Amino acid sequence: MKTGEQTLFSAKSISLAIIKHIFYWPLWWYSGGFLIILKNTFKKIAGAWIGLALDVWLKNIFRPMYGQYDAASRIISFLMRVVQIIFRFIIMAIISAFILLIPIIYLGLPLAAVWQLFIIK
Amino acid sequence: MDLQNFENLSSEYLELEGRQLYWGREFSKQAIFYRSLEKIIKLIIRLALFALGFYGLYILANHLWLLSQSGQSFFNSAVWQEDYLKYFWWSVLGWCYLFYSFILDSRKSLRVVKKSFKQAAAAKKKVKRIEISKSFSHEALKILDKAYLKSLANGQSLDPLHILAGLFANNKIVNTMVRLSLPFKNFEKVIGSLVKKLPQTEGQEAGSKILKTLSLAYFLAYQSSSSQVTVLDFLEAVIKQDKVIQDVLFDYKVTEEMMANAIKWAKINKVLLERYQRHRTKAAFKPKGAMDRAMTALATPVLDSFSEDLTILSRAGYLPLCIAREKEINEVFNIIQGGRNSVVLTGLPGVGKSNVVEGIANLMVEEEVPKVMKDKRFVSLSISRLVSGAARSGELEQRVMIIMQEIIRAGNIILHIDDVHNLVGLTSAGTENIDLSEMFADFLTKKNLITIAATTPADYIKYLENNPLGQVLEKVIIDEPDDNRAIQMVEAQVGFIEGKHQAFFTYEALDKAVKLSRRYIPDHYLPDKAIKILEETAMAVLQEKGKNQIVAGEDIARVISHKTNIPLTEVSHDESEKLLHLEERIHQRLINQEEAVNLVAAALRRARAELRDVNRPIVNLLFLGPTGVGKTELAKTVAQIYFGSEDNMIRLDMSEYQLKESVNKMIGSKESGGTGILTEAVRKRPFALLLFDEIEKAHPDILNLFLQMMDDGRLTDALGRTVDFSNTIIIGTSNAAAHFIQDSIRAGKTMDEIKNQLIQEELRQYFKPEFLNRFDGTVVFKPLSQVHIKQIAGLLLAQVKKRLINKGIYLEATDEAVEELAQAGFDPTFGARPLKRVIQDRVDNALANHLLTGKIGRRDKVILEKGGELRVEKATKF
Repeated sequence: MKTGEQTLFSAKSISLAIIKHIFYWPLWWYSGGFLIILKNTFKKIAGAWIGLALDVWLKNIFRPMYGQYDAASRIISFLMRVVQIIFRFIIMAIISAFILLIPIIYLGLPLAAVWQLFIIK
Repeated sequence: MDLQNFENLSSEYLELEGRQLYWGREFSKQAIFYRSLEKIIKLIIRLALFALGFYGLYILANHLWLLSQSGQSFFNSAVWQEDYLKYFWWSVLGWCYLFYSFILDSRKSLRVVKKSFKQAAAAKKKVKRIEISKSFSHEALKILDKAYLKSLANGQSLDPLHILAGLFANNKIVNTMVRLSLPFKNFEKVIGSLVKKLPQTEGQEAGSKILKTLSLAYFLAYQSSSSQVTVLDFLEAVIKQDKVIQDVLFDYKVTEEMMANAIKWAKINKVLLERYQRHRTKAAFKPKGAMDRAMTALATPVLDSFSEDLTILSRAGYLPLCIAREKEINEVFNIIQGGRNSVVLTGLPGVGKSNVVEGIANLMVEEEVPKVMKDKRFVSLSISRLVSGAARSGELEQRVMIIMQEIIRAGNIILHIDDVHNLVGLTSAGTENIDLSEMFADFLTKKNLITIAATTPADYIKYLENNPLGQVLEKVIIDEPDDNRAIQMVEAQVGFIEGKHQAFFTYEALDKAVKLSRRYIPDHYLPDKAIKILEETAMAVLQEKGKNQIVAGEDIARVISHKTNIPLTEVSHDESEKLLHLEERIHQRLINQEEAVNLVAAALRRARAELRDVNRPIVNLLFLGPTGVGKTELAKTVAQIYFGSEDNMIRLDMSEYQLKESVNKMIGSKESGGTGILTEAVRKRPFALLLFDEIEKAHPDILNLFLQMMDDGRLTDALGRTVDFSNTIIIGTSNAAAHFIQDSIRAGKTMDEIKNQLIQEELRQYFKPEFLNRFDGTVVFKPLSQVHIKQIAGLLLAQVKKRLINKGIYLEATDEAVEELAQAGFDPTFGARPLKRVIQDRVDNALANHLLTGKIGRRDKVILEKGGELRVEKATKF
């Protein structure tokens, strides 16, 4: 190829690439990008679940606390565990709600911007 | 190479884990230009968007502030209609684009395929194709592009050599070269000249060579489980591909294996960092205190006062990572999972038992352990703390009972007992009850307590093997690592030593530290002893040369040499001169006996040039001949020349070992506490000359014992310790058949004839043929003649002179006087011994009389004259 042709070829391919890049953006935002955000969200929620040790509490619900195996202790322990589990579930729900805000904002943000910039006026 | 060529090549592929690999990145001037242009445009756009983004945020903040000042509600939609807010909304779009652009870029690079151990992957019908260039690091790709441009400018086709030349600009590569003690500038020059010599053609062959190199680099990254193909993989691949480069490196004493290990070393630091970070993230979930996550545990105050919580230490990041012990840790886990709850790690001191325990503690914190060990504490019980202060009768037992109660009630404790053999025989003062080991054994079996104990093999045999505790504990052997594993372990520790002593180790230094310490420091174990040597050397180098110096293999050899008194450094010019003229040096002390001297000198040269078999003694020699001809003298000379001093000679008079029981004296017996005279002496001084005087008088059983020592270079003492004889010179002397030698010489037989007849017939009555066969040389010492005796008289007088010089007196002897002494001292049957007596009687005695009567003073000259007369030449008085 000659130099002139080469430059033409490069210019063509570069502008093509840029156009492709711009058009791919919204497409990616609501498909691949959203999946990444979702995965991340679930990871965070799972982290909170491990951090609050909810599975450990559920698994041990009938096991007495502090190695006290008599009947009274068993009952107290069970009640205590129930309270703990409820309490931890509430915290879990709050954290999850906050985490779930992230994908919602992600979906809405570009729409809001476009709405504000191009549609209202 | 132009585009079309490349397309042909990219259809070549390599298969990995059932996937096809291909190279899709284009090599051409315009592609490279295009890529760099893209990079610049991207950078400009990103910078602009960042500026816009922050401006938008500022606008928003300003707007909110104004709203709060004016007291309007945020939720009134009218307040969000301000015109200037559109900058903010543009900035939102800008942020969104930045997110898109960055994520897209990060997705472009692919992880190197992970190793999987499943066979099924290969059976898939549709083969996935992988573009390997996406897994190369930016650094590596940049170097590749530059190398290509360079080759284009030279009018050559791209060759691995171009890549290597490009790699020199990289810091990591330079580091690795320094580690290999490569003279960097020289090496670069050689590679540069090789690049110039490459042909000017642009052929397809070269292209496929490059492609092979690239896939090899990918494969190497895959093998070491890296996530990216780095410049280090490039380096290794280039060297593996190119025979010429290998030869150049070989010239610099760098083998392919050394290169591979040095590269592994560079990678290990990254792996360690990744592992450490992973550990820290996981550790955050582990409870800080004694309570488990299920809240079922109990506090254990008594146990805590006698122990240390390893999981808490690990959680806080105090425990080092465990390297190259995965096999042993898995074995421990398998035993525990299999239901036998208690193991004992058995290994020599210094091989890393504690490191294995620390590794288990780390894994427990990460909760990557079998289910029975999850959510538990790993507590190390200290026996010394347990015992100390337990003065009252029964107190010790009481403590153990309380601790056991606590452990059982808490239910979340895994016990570690270091040096567990110390429990055997422990009872509190004044009681003769069962000892602690039996109490522990009882608890461990009945209560299913998980315990990981540790001990040494000797203590295991002595205390645990026939003890109930030993039967409860399943043995896991922690071996001394082989050279490669030891080097890996040392590599993981070296960073710390380098930081502490501000020194920089070469690969050769590590290699030598491991290999030389294995050979020459027999009573300590790897990797500990190698690490200690490295520390010592770093310290020495710091003191001698100052900060930030390179510690080379020679430095290590010097330190080990200093410790062991054996020459290990490379043979210097001076020394090689000395070695080549060994015979002359020996003859300065020894007259006649050319054959014996030649044989010994040759053996010493072989040993120093490291051409000998390292699994046998340096040399085994049998010296035969009548008394007083220089057998012992030669042995002493050798000890002085090779081992540095006559003191490095272990001399055993075999006439003391004539009975069968003497074997016990030699290698020890259980009754005598285990240490034998021979084994103990060599164990303490492995580099010495072993002289067995009058070997024919030893009991035949002892000679049988020697067979193994002389052949394999090792003997085992009564305690089961193997003593290494491979750095000794073994010399046996014997007067056996002395008469035969004298008679034969008188009869005019040649030396060869005499020797043959000796070995074939005469010596058979004293030694078995297999014993004689073990000697590398049998040397027959010739009886001394009158001429030799005169020379010896000269040597002996020289010794007297030396003694007198210390007193400030000069002695000279006339030729006639020496002749007279030689005649008086000559006795064909007794060799040079009578001469010694004559000199003592005639010279020393006369001198003593003169000294005591004050006839000689300082600076006087004494002349020994014919008839034993002493003439004194007085010095001028001041």
